[in-house]
Amino acid sequence: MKKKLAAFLTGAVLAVGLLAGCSSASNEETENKDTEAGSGSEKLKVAMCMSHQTNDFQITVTSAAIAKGEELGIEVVVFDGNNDSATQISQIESAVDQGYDGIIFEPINVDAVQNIVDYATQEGIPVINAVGAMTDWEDYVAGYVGGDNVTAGEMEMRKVAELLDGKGNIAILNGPMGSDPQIQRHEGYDIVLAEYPDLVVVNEDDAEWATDKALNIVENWLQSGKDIDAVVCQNDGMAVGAAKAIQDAGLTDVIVTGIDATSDGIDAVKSGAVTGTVSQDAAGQGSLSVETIYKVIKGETLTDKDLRTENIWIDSSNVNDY
Amino acid sequence: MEKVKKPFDRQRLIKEYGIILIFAVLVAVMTILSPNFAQPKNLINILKQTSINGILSLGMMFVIISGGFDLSVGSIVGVSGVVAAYLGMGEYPLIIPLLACIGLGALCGLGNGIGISFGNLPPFIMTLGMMTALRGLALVISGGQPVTGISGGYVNMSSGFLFGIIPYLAVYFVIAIVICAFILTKTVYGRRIYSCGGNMLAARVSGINVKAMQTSVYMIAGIMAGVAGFLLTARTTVGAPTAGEGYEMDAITACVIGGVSMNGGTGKWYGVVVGALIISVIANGLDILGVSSHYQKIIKGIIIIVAVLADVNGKSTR
Repeated sequence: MKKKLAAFLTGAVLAVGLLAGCSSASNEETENKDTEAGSGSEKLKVAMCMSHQTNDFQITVTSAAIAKGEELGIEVVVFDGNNDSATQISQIESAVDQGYDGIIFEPINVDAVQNIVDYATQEGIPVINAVGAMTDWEDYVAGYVGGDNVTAGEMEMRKVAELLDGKGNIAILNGPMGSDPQIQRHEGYDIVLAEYPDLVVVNEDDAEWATDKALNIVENWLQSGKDIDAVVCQNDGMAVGAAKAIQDAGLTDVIVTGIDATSDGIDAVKSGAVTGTVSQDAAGQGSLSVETIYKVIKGETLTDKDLRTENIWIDSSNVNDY
Repeated sequence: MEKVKKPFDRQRLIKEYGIILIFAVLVAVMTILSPNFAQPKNLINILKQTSINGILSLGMMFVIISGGFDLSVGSIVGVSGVVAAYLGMGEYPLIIPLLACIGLGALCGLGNGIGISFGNLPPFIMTLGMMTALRGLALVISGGQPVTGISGGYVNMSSGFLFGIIPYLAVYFVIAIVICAFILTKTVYGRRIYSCGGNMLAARVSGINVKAMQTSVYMIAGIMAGVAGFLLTARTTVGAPTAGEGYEMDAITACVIGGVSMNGGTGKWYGVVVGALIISVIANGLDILGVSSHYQKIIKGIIIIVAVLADVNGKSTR
């Protein structure tokens, strides 16, 4: 009886597997048809190799890129590198071998992509570096499109300094220590902190971009008896966690700021929990990188190879525009 | 494992209650180092912070005692957290997202259990697959973005207080402890979990339906993870698809330092509770002292090794 049941279950699982196999096969077929149709009308194809697709910022960048592509008649195909440098290198490699007309990439490791970018260039495929700059990008790619983490950090800390009249206790929540955005945003903080000697950093820790980690850390800081006037966070996810801890502690006059202007951050600014956030114009980074690769593919020379999107401070006064 | 009555045995005493001793020492050291540590407000804070990992650890305890292992609970937290956020925006009464989380967790646990008991897959492989697939599912459901906009009532599920002082999160933790301790120590089912983990063959011969037992413990772990996901979304106010990453490790850590043997068959509920509390106390104490969270990892790692060292050596002297 049990054997029969097991056999039945195995059979059922196999059947489901086959169905899944068939449906994915038919998907591939339709995809192939699409590409054939595309090449028939000579539609340009651009590979967009991103570090991951697991947060709001990344999704905003790629959606804007795809939308811009549709506008310009380019098919933008997004590859998710799963935060693994080796995966990303293989993805860029296959994009070259499959004959894409251009490649936009966000490096997972800023020092690991040089060889593969060289390979693409040798094969005559234009490459644009986006979102985060690889080391020595000037020597390797046609152009760089991205936000400026240093000025974003500087803008955030400067707003906090202004709100505190240049005097007070500050706590900082970092992204994963040693990652590029963490280092660059902190560089921006340091520029402002050097100008305001009365801004004292009383607490600082690594909350790995995560809301729950930030929540625990700030809860504990608030128990330490030190006064904290502002919690400066390197992204919005952590700012949301910090704001919740402050709210739960019954405090109302602590400033909380973030960077990225992702949907959770914008919502928190709307509700008043988070004071403000710096937008690095994620959508702009996506659409500008597609515009730029389009120019390069068409053979136009770029007047400016270093293209930065503008930082925008979003607080209660302008949050409803977002 | 059978309990043999022994005369006074220091080794056994240390093994049984050593973890409570370590906890006491840790609390004493933190109290000396920081006057703010032992404040009632902070102690309540620690209970609150232990709650979610504690609930996960209690579920994990059932699996490990039965001789299994579950890597998928962190991903179950992620998926159920996202689902709870979608259902918890005020359209439905809060029981709906809670039941959805429990159902989802039970279903994932059922999958794990069937794969392991009927498919004879090693628990590590089955739950690794489940962990990976569910994380993907969380990202698909949420479109890779954190889900915002949960209702005030839902947020209050975690940030509210019973009688104005005891945080709800701590209350849920205590309820979970009472239920789990009762099942494990006072029911036939609980004793059978121990016998399955102690010697599966002997358990089968003695007439226990081992496969059903195995499946049920993974379902318990799944349900606990579903509840944890529901609470985590209430606590952080967003349903993040990446939430709960690495939580399975903290749950396993709590079990291991709490004296639950990875070989199965042994482990006490209070050990697991203290194990979960130790993890929170380290984080809380060091945060208050302003020590970087990177040191917490070093200390946690050392405590895991020392705890298991005591466990293993306790056995060899028997």
